[in-house]
Amino acid sequence: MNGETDLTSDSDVTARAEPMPSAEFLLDSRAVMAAVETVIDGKREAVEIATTVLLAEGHLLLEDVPGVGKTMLAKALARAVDCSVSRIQFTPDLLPADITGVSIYNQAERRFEFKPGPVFANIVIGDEINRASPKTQSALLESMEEGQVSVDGATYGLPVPFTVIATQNPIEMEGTYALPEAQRDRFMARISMGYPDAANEAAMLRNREGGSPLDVLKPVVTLERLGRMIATVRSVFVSPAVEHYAVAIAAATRVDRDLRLGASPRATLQLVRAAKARAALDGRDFVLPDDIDALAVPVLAHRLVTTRAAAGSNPLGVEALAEITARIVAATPVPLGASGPA
Amino acid sequence: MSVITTRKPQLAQPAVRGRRERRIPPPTHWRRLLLALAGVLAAYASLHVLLQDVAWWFVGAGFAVLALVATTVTRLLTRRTWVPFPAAVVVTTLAVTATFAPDTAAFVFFPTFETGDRVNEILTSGWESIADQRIPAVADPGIVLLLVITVVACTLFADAVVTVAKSPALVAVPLLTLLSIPVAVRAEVADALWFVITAVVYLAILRLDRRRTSRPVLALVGAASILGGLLTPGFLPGVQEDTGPLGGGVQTGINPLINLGEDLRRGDPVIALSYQTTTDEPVYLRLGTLEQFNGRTWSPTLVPQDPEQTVAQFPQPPGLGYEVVRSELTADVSIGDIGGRWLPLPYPSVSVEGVTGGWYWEPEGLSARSPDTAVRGQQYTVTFLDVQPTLEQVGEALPFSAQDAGMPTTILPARIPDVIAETAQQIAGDLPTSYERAMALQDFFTSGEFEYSTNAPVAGNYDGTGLEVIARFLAEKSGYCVHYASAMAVMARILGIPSRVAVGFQPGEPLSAQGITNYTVTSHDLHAWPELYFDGVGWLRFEPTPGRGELPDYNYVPPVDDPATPEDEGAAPTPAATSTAGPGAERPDESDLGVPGAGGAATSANPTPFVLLGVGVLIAIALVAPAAIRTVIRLRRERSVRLGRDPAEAAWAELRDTARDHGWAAPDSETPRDFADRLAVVLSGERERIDGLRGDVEESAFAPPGRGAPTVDELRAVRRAIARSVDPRDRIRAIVLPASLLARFRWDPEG
Repeated sequence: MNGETDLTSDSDVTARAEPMPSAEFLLDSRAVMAAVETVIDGKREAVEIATTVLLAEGHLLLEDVPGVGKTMLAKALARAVDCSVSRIQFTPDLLPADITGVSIYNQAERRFEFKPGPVFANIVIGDEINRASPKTQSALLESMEEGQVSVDGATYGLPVPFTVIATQNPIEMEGTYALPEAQRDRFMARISMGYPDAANEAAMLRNREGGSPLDVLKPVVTLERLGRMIATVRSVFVSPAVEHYAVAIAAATRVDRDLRLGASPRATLQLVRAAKARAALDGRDFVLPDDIDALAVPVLAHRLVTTRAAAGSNPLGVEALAEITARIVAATPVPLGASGPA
Repeated sequence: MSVITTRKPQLAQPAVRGRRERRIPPPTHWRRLLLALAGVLAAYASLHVLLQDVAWWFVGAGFAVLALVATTVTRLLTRRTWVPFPAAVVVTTLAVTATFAPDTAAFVFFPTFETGDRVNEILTSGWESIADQRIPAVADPGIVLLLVITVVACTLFADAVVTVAKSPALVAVPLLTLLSIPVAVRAEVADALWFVITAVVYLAILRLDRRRTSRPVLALVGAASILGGLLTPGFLPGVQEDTGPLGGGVQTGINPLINLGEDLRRGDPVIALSYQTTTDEPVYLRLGTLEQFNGRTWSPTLVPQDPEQTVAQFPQPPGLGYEVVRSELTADVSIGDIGGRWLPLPYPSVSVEGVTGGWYWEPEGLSARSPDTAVRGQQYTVTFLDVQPTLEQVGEALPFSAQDAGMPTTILPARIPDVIAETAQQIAGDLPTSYERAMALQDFFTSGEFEYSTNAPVAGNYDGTGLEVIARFLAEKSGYCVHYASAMAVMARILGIPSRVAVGFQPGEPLSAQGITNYTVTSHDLHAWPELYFDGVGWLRFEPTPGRGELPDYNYVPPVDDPATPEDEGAAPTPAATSTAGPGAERPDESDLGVPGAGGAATSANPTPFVLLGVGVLIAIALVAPAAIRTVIRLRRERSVRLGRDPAEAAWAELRDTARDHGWAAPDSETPRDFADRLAVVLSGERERIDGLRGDVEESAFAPPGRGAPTVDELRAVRRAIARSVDPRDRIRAIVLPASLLARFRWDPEG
């Protein structure tokens, strides 16, 4: 293993960051959400989950039809935090090197020099990720999982925190390659934006008259404070009862008669992590089963595969999956004792 | 880096389920079913106190097993839950056809219309047989078929609650149904052993749930059941054996008098029959006679019935000489509420008209019996003789000599207590004629020295008709008709007069209207009396019981007329049997002593108050048990809360159960926060309290150790708030029938 190169000066902010007091955390996190909401009208829930994923060090998959503000949400979130941001527009002819970077021969110094690609940023916006070829997709997804990039035998660490916010169009749209199950699993959560309601859509029309609101969005949190917020989330307490609960839900997806593929252990891990972020956003220093309940659908549903019978007419079965997940959650007993499930 | 994987592919896909798997019933199913079957059969066995032999159990058990096999096999073939039950009914129908009416069936198994009629007949005869027989009854085909239907229905019900409703606790319904049959028929004979066995099997069924939390409940229910089973007999009167002194007759299994004895025991007389007669004289109506005396009991002489011997024409009464004056009389008899197959007739009867069914006279006693028809509701006209012997004619009869001995009516046991023989000799040994001796005996009993009492023999523990009893009776000088009849009959034989005991009704209450006298005979008019035989005259009735019945005319005008019936058809066994019942109980109604011998004892036992008390106690236990169990559970949880042992779990479970008791849904899968929010919406004024408790529960369950914990006071406050929110009726129901208890027993398929 040669040459682990740190390309960002402030990459390790979270490692040495101290958790912050609850009040401070709430102030900062609400500031971020408020900032995003100046751009995205009436999508409170989507904004909350996006923030949750950012603080839980996960990656977010935004899936919806074109034009509902997926990219806008990703950009707003990235803009609200004062950190490095890059955006990759995925197209069918995009190559892996276009993402990770390439080694270029430097004539002057007579050696190869690594030129980092757009993936080297704290927040990476992958637009229309399902329009790229699977080979290119996997280049991004591998870096998401491992937090590093290997090019020509050298490994380069990605900045920390590192969050990918990818958007994609539903599979039935033209010119798309569906993400394989294994790659969908790398996203902590998947959300749909949904169409805005009439009032919000009208408000949006007015706001956009004077130019994009993104242009006036100023960062509200520094990278250093983001690191401390992440550290705060990490320190949230998870009781054995809640662990049992998350495990029970995951286990139930694996034996459900309507599902062909259940939740992976990574899914359980990410469910609990996301729940910790939600607890912190709610001002608590411990996780409640309610956090698990609230996040089960966005965190678990996109990893599951239905049986053909349960999918109905929709091959992706987004609604069916959400329904099945909700049913499983509703049927799983909530343990209250330290001894686990009753 | 090698990417070659050495794993087998299937090992790498733990989360992928195969295609639709066939859902196989959980493995506890068949165990539960077997236990349910065992429970039903054990409860079924509790009927043994009502029936003779054991064959009926095996027949019923066979059918129950067959039905269960049918449902199980069907269940393997189809996944529809309801299909197995019609299938089992079909299989049972085929089997019933083959067993009970094979000759009417097509190819042995397949029922035809004729089969329907036949089965209907059998069932009808079963009901009649149940009405007629005394306990323990002979399990004739009708009864067995009824039992088969009952036990198969219970088995299928148990199957349904186990496999379809998945509430094995409901198996209690068929079990209690079966167990309640003996209690309903005769509470005092119910058998605690099978009750306990059934209870244990039932507990085993519940135990299969393996839910830890329900263990204390199980223990409580178990203890209560077993305790109840053991205590119940204590509350009930101590009847067990139903064999009485004259019990021999009972063994025919057809004993109307026994049932009359039962009726009498209630204290309220029932109308047994009524009659109008052309004579001014009251008429004794006999059911039968008991000739055989073995030293312990009197029993009838039963011979196979000859179809020629219908009651349309009776034979000449034995021993009645042609020179004795007689006149023909008639009586219109209307039978009321008595069971059995003996026809109440005056003696000696000449002919009977108007009866339905086949009735035949018995050669020995000239009483009438039917093999297949019940006496209840019969209306008929009987022509009988009024025999008027002169004193001379009666007086000619002499005590029989040794060579006459050997007839059933003269046989005495080898060993007779000295006191009986001495008393008899002392009273009449010196008198020359049979009639004088008989009158002396009758006078001895009716002279005032003896008193009539239905209680004394029981209290003195000398109830019955045996020789020992007679000896005690002669010393105590207190008893009822059975004792008098038996004693006089035995002493008459000692003195050389053939004798027998007749069982029937004393004349009853006359009611005159428009020149017609109507006699109403109630169950209290059941009676037993001795009949003595005189050469040339036949059988004459005597009345040794003080204060009972009518003294025969010839007592006053010695030989003149002989109201007593000459001879009767013999088989009067039934009456005797009645006496057998409850030795231990006090006799309630003195008036009826009904039947000779044992009959009196039986009728006298009055278990009603004890039965009511026992039933009342059981009901009280049943009413209080759920509340008690629920309270124990609550106290245990409160203790857990106080001691800090999983306090969140205990407090929240208690809160949820309280809500369930008051009609709320409270699924285990609901988080405390969701449930508290729901509660707070309804209990609007209590949000603060509810949230306080919820917060403490959350901190205790989910926060780092050392944070808040719920307190018992908090819990109680919220429980009270819930109770206040419902109307008083629901509040009482929540206490008496807590719904949360039922939920604990609900079967959880996950095991």
